[in-house]
Amino acid sequence: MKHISRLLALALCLVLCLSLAACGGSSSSTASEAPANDTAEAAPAAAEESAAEAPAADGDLKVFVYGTDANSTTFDPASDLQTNSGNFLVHAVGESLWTCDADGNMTMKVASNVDYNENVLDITLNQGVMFSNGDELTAEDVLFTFQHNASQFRTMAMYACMDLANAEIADDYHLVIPMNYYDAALIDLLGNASCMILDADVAGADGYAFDWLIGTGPYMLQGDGITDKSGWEESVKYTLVRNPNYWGEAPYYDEFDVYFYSQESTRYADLQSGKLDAAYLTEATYINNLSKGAVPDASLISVNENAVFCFEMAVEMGGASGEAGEPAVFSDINVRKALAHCLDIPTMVESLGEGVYDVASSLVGEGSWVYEDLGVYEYDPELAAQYLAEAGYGLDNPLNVSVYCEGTAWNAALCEAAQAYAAAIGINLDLSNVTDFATILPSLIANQVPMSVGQGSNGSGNDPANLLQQFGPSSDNSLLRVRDEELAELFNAGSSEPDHAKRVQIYQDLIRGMYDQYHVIPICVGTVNFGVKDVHTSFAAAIDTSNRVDPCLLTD
Amino acid sequence: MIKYILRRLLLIIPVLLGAIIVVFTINYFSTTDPAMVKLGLSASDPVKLAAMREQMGLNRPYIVQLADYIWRLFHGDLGNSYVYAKTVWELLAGRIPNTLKLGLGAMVISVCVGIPLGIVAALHQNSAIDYITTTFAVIMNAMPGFLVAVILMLIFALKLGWFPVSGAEGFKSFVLPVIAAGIGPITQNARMTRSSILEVIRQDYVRTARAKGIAEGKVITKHVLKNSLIPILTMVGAGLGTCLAGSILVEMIFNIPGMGMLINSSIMAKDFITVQGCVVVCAVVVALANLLTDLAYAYVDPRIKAQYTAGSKKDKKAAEAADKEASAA
Amino acid sequence: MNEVKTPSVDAPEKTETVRLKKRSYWGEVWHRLKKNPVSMICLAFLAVMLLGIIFATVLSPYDYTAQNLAERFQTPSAAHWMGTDDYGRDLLTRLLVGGRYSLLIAILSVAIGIVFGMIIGALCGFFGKYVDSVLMRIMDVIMSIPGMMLAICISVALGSGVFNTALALAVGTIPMIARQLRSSTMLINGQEYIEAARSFGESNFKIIMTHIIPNTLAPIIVQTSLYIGGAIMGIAGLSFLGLGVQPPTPEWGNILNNGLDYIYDFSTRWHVIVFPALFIVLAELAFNLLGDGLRDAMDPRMRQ
Repeated sequence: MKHISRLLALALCLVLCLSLAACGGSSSSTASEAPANDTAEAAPAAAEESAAEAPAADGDLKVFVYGTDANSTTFDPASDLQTNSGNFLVHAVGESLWTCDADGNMTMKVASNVDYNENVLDITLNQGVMFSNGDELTAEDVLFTFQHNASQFRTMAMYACMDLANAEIADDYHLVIPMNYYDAALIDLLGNASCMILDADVAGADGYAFDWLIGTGPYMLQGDGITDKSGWEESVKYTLVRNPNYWGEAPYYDEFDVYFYSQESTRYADLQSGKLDAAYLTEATYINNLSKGAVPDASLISVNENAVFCFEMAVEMGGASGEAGEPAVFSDINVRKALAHCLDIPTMVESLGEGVYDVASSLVGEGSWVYEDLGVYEYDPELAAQYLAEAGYGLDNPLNVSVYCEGTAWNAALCEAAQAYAAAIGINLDLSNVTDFATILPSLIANQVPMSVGQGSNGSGNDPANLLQQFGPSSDNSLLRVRDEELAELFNAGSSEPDHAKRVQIYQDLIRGMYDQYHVIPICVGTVNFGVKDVHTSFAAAIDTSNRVDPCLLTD
Repeated sequence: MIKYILRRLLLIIPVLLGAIIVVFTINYFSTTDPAMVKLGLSASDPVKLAAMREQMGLNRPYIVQLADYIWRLFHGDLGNSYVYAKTVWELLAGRIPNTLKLGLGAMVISVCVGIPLGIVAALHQNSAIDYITTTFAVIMNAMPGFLVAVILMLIFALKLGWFPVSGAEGFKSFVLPVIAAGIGPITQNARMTRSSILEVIRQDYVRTARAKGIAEGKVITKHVLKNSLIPILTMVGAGLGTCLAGSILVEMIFNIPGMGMLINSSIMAKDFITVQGCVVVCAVVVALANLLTDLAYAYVDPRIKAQYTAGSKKDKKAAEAADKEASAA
Repeated sequence: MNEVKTPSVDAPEKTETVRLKKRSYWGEVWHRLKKNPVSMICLAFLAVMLLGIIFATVLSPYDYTAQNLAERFQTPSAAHWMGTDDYGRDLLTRLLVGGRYSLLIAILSVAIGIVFGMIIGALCGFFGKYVDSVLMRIMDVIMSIPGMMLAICISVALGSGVFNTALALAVGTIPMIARQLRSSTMLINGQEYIEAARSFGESNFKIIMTHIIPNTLAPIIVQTSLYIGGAIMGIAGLSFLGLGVQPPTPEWGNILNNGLDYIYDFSTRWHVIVFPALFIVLAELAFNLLGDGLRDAMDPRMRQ
């Protein structure tokens, strides 16, 4: 009897626990079922909203709360553009010389005029542009910014076209820089938010470690950055307040609170709980969930990028950058063809991506001016097996390749799916080795990584030279480092050609050439996704041409 | 007794040194090069890499680096982070309070809830209360901590809206994380307490006490509880370590900026010096907790106190006397 | 249910004596364990699970790596008893194969922990003095680093893999077992029968092996079950952090962690969370309850 009651109690508790878990999960996913709970959920949000709208005790302060990915490690715009939080910051705190849209049309900002040809870059600045600490922006600051960016590894190659050592400061508002060579992508690059102008007196000072950021933008980090650093709570949030010295028209919001979340599930939960006005989302499951209306008062804003996710295969390995190395497994085009044809890319993208991603049909997205529809490599396992047999491998003699997959969920999902497809024809993709950048670094530097998955571009701009830079011979973190003479020539020609129509032609030839050589396997077009409370209708318009949120454009 | 406390305090130093050595060694023999972590992709320039290695003192032999690290540590310098442009101490300072709140909170509820549960269950063995408590303990003990944390968040933060989902602002935001981190230790304490009491309750001296006609309440408090507290105390001491470690996952799920989150991000970024710093701080906390445990241990069990203080023959005699006293009790 | 009133070794009935003599110590334990239905259910459950795990690849018509992206997230059906996961793989097959890794790592880590913990604990408790303080200080060093943090450090330094993960988890359990054993050894050490053995001139080694360790085994058996449970939990925790066994290889922790990504789709994808969680919880329950049963069986005083 005793044992039976013990068993019963056990079963009861188990059922209780599981049912609790079940209603916890289902109630939050099927929002329409539980209207009573919705009001409870929305209550804190409503309170927050009304506090923002109605005159509150502390004045009529308009505050926007944004949830972003993990903490930035540094506030250096030249090295921290990749994180979403860093992006938001440079848009609010900084200003670039000008901005460019996807077609390359410029809008002047800090600069009033620019003259650019193969010999010289001549910049005239607006007068009276003030940094948030009260310093005036001069040509010296612009030159310092260029020098800083040229010294940072990630941006080094892109600034190499300028001969900064012989730059001439004509007067406080006039800078003349002689060119080493013409680079057609420079204007686009300098118009990127990451090229915000830094204060030479602050950022150039000894021991300045970019743990604070001062710019000319409409906002500034709360505090003066010297004694008062209250705007920056390590790994919690940063707070942006209005820049009292801003030279332009003041934007809508008085304050931005930007919270860091290392776990996307928690960020998503806080969008539901009403703490956040908007949240940055990357994982297909949450994005898909939001698009189905799982959060009653929030919706999804999704923008396609011009950079494409792809599998990159190293054609040769070893050897430092610019030197020849030994042939890699993928030096045989038949192996590359085999891999390309064994993957059912449309199915992978549609099912794993839960409808969030579009299948890529070129090496750039549809928004780019060099885009043309090249389709996807056809899924044909028999053909793939045939190619692999020609290369001397097969099911009885499998080919082993280790793949570098940087830790995002989407990269990992693509790799895991590809692993099963490739195994079916006799290519064993080993995913067990690497999950983070620091571990792969030595191999990457020694050029010993045979294959990787990731987004092609580094997000520096919309110019095809920037979109394709990753694959080019000058890229130091690319696996590919195209050695094909013809293609390498096209790369160089594309970036040094001033004529727009000719550039289109060159880049289309280049992309077609890379397609024919099976150098990279394009998978899907990258997207940027945000969960936004419905009250903020201006959010979609606040996404700039490089697909980043510009907080200054928010108006409600 | 004061002499004993002092001796135990001195003994903490080698323990901490040992912990530092262990962690330093694990990190030292890890395959990643700190200079590369610091430089990132710029490490592809061999000259820069060599210069950075020289600057960071990585070319020195293991023992010199270790000694240097310990030497700086005793001057309050935990080193500079490889990834952040900050010292490790700057990174840690703001996070320690959050982790301590979480860890101590979890430990407190594990003691205040776990031990009474265990006592009640043991004293009413085979009653309904015993079954419910034991079953609760057994099932909760079988649930992975992160699952409990996620379920708590879904129900109490999202569905009911009683507590905030994330953050470390105020008392309310710590309620769910503390429960999530404490649920494991609660169940362990309850189980240990129950079995320990059941063991003691059948000892001859309890039977003797009962036979002597001592009131049941007095038997329980004086004989059973006092004697069964010993193994439970070891659990409580070790529990703080478990609570601190458990806070890693809990901090991540509830987005609490504590040491756990720092450790996790540092490990992912291979920022080993920061990991070392975190572990050293945890080791200090746990060592202090262990000291308190040992003192309590000695206070509760005269035999063990006697063994520690034993030195002279007089002490030994006292110990024997204490021994007899204990077994006669 | 309790017809046999605790056959105590000191005063067995006459008929019992004959049988008792035939039975070894463990035989006696087994005899008593058989009378506890909870333990027997747990044992049966573990046995079935173990068989399923061992013969998973023979029993299941599915390959645990074979993906079918057209059949993602199928709810349980006759074809897929526990449905399919996010790659359209059969979940039951993956859970069974994953059990191999989870249990292997857990048992391996506990075995390493117990062997070292038992030796160290017995040495400390038996010899006391310098041996005790030196070894216990070393244990304090390890104890002072929270187990999960130590496991993370070791796991990162050694890399992923079955043995590395087991080792990473084992190091943290050694001092706990050692401490536990030390205190129980210290209590036993003062007992008369140890004195008696000493006076017979038995060697220290023999005393430790024949008196100390067997007499301190009972709490360790309870601990073993707890530690196996703890290890399964530890592996799951490491998986949650992205350490431990890497995703293409199934393991309960990473299957559950993977499933948790879909917690907001619980109404349609509940099976990828519930089944892995059930496997972990039931396995842990079984180990814990079996441990309790074993303890009762080994220590007849514990039964009323």
